[in-house]
Amino acid sequence: MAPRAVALAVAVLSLGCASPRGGSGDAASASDRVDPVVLPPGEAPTPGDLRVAAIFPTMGRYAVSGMQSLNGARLAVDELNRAGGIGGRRVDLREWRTGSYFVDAQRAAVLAAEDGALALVGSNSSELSAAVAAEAQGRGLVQVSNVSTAQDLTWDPQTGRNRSFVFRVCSSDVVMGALLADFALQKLGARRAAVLYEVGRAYSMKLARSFIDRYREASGRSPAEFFYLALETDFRPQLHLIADYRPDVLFVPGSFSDASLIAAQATALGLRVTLLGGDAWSSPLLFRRGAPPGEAYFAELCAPAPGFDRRYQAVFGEETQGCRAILAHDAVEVVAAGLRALGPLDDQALGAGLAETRRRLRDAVAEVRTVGASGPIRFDAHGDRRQGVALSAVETGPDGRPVALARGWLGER
Amino acid sequence: VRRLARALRDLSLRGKVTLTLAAVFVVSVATLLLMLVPILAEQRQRLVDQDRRMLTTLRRNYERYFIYDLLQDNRESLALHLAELAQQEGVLWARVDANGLDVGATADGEAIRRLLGEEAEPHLPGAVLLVDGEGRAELVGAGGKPLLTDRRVRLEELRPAATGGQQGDEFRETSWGGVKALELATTLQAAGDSYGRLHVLYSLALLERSETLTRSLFYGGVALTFVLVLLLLNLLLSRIVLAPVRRVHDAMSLAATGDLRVRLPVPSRDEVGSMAESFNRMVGELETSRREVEGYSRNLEAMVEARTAELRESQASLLALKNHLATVIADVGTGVFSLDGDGRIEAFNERAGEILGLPPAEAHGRRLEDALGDPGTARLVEVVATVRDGRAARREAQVLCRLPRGRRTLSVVASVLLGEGRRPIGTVVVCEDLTQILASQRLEAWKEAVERVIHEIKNPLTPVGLAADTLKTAWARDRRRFGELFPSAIDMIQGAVRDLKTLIGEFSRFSRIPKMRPERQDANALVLEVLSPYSQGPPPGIQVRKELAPDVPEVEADADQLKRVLFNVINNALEAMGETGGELRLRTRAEEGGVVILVEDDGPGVDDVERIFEPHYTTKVKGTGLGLAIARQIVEEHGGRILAESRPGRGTCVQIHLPAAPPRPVAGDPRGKAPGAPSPGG
Repeated sequence: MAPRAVALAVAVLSLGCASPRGGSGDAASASDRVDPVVLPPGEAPTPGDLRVAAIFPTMGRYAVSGMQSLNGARLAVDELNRAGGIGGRRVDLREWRTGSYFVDAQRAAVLAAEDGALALVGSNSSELSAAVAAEAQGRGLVQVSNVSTAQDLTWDPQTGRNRSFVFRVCSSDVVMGALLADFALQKLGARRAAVLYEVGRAYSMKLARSFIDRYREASGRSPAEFFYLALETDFRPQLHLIADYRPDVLFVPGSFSDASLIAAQATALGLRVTLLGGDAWSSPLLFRRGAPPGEAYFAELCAPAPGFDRRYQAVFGEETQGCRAILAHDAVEVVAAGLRALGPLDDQALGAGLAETRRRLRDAVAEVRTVGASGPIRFDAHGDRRQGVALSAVETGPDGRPVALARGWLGER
Repeated sequence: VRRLARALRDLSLRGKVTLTLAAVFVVSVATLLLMLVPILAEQRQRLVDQDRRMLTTLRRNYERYFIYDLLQDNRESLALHLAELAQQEGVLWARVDANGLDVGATADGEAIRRLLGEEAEPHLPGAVLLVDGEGRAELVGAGGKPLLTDRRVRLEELRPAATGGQQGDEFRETSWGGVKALELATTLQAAGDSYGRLHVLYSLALLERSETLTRSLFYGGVALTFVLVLLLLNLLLSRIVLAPVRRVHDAMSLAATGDLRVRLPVPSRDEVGSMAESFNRMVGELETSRREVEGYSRNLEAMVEARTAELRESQASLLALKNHLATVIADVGTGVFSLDGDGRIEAFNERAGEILGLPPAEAHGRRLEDALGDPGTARLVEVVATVRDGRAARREAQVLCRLPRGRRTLSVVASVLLGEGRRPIGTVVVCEDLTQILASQRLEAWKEAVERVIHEIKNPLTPVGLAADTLKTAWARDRRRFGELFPSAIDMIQGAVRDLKTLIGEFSRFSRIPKMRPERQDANALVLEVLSPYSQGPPPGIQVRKELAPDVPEVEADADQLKRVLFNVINNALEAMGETGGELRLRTRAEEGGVVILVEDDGPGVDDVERIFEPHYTTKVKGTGLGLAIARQIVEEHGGRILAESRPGRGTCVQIHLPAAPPRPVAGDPRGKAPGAPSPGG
């Protein structure tokens, strides 16, 4: 990271403007130059154990969410081993803690594959998961992501690419957008809808696109589109335009921080609109800096699971945030279900026959039908979990703080 | 100060010029600097402003990340973003302080070393030190990879003076860990809401370095320019002014040593050119003059040489002459002596000694009168004194002196000896003892006289004899005839006797000149007395005229003898004019030391005028030829001279010079009875 920063700094100095690292960017050359940040597992693997690699960012910007994901996975493995393991073999969660940069995750995937993992769990951001997915698909070992919603992680309808080894225990953002559009039209009765999305961020754009497409398809009306650039902090210009449009519903497929800023600024501007959001809104910090200008709903990748939350709290001493932990737990569960489906594994299957075992595991996972902490799990033909999204409404809690309350389920359950 | 001033004054022209140039340049540069210092300051300010803009840009770009990180309460992300900001070139320290989150970061190796010590060293460079509000520090590598954790650092060092919660970017210059820094303190804001404070320390080392470099370059450039310009100006001045001046100077030095062939090129029409021209002209003129002078000098040398040679020659010849003269004078048969201006004897030859009876050894250095001593030499002394006192330039005289050898007649010629500028410096006296000569002359004269007497007597005796014979014959033969012849014969005989008587009388007068009895006489009175018979009844065809000067001095003379002299001379003149007639003029005139009596006639003149004073010289049919000889004798015995001038057809002039009588003594002085009366005849 340091040389890269220096290179950037040089570019900054020469151009006279700073361009901090974005999510995407100079990926082509970066892998050559950036030393990936990967903390390998603390102990050497125990022969005979079923090695499942967890690749999560515990450093950098995704450190908090990565840590929750990792904890979820730990919880699952702990439960498995306490229940006697799988087929008499202990499950060894090989923890590859990475930085928040895609090369870190990629490097971790390579290392994990070489470490003899049967499957990979992670990562929890689409960009990191995509980097891991490329290695998992290439090396022929199962990857199960917990919360990566980017549609093209598992398959890309545009190019037709299908990563057969890659699964996720959540629905894709395309599904989410369509379900939210239906919700806006059917439940909220929206006549006029607007979308304010972040240009250049795949998650936001794809979610917006699916929402718009579905909305148009269902209503015959096109929502008004507004956009902002990454890291925008002042949305007032867009909000003025939106106010002029006077929508019933404003869909903000951005992060909870974007949504918090937009909500606060919209309220300040006197805008009266119902806010809709995606799973990225899922944060206790949502609307912390100001109440939304009206009702606010967002999709969650999981329904509330108080039992899991309590367990988590008991083990890690902190509250769960969103669905990362529980879905990471279920990602491990999926792998475990696959492994169980394979039957007892001899040492040969874990040694020389590892590649074959991995391939068999993929087939097993694709056919998994199980019930995780977040509910029943099965995959569609692309490896996406077949299910809808949970709906949360944001309301003001007894302490005056905004609080997300579950409001049922959208789509398939 | 004075010494300095003198040193400056004694500086070479080039030194002065250089010094002046340097002074001008230094003043210019100083002025330039004075003008440029604010420009440099402004330049610095501009650079600082640039850094401010840079910081502002950095702030603007990172602000969003920080705000999002704060919104998400994401310490990790915040730390990473801070680390990234801290790793930007020039950023020393970046810190975000919000409610609940307070993270500072530095990627500055020096600062990390300072804060963490040696253990940080292996991780440098590239590591970022993250410090929270309590001073808990953690060294992370790329991507937030922890390198050193759970360290504590002294917070004060990391806390730049945070300013209050003002809005907008606040800048101030500060220093951090010995490094000059620009501090940015700002509030993280989004749409008017504040999210926290951001502090960034930005190193001004680069700026300082560039400023130092600029300044060094600038001063170096100025110094270099200074030196170059000075050199160039010096060179130019050397070429344009100093070199020509030096050439002129060298040429002048060369000229001063005497080489006047030197010429200067005239490269331009400026002052130097005109100086060179002037110099060339001057040297040219000098050279011409010198050549002339040398010519003159050579000429002069030649002349001097010639003159010197001549002089040497003439000196030699003079010496020879002198020797010759000395020899001649010494050996000459004539007495020569000289007196100096004081009348003391200088030269005195042997012969003079013999004549004057005075040994030369005794004569030297004495006054003439003292040396001679005897009053009998008074005439000689007197004659010499006439010349010595300047009364006459030359004096010739025959003087009778009583000398140890007896009475001697001396011929004396005294002349003024003229020195430089024709000033009299002495007297030369030439004397000759005439006594012997005179004696022999007299003897000769006597013999001649006897012959003449015999001749004169014999001449009348022939007709007497003839007449006697005729009478005797007639008597004997023819008495009638006798009677006829007798009276004429008797007359002839009587005439012859008469002539004889006259002749005898003449001779007896010549032989017996009476003894001179000099008395004071008035020369004019004498002349008038002698002229009186002629004045009353002059001979036919003769006019007498007299011009007598009234102021003639008295002379001391024997009146009878002097009258006889005058009678002889006048008669001679009358006889000369006898046939043609004419005018007889008598004049007196005072002259230096005496009087001159001039007797002039209109007669036919005499060819051999010098001889007329010799005895028996005559041009006349009648006469003995003794008259003028007698006259001469008498005049000379009076200490005078008698001279004659004559030109044939124009008459004769006889001059009788007589010395003036000595001044009359107040009391009676028996000067008249002075000795020296000449003896008669000889």
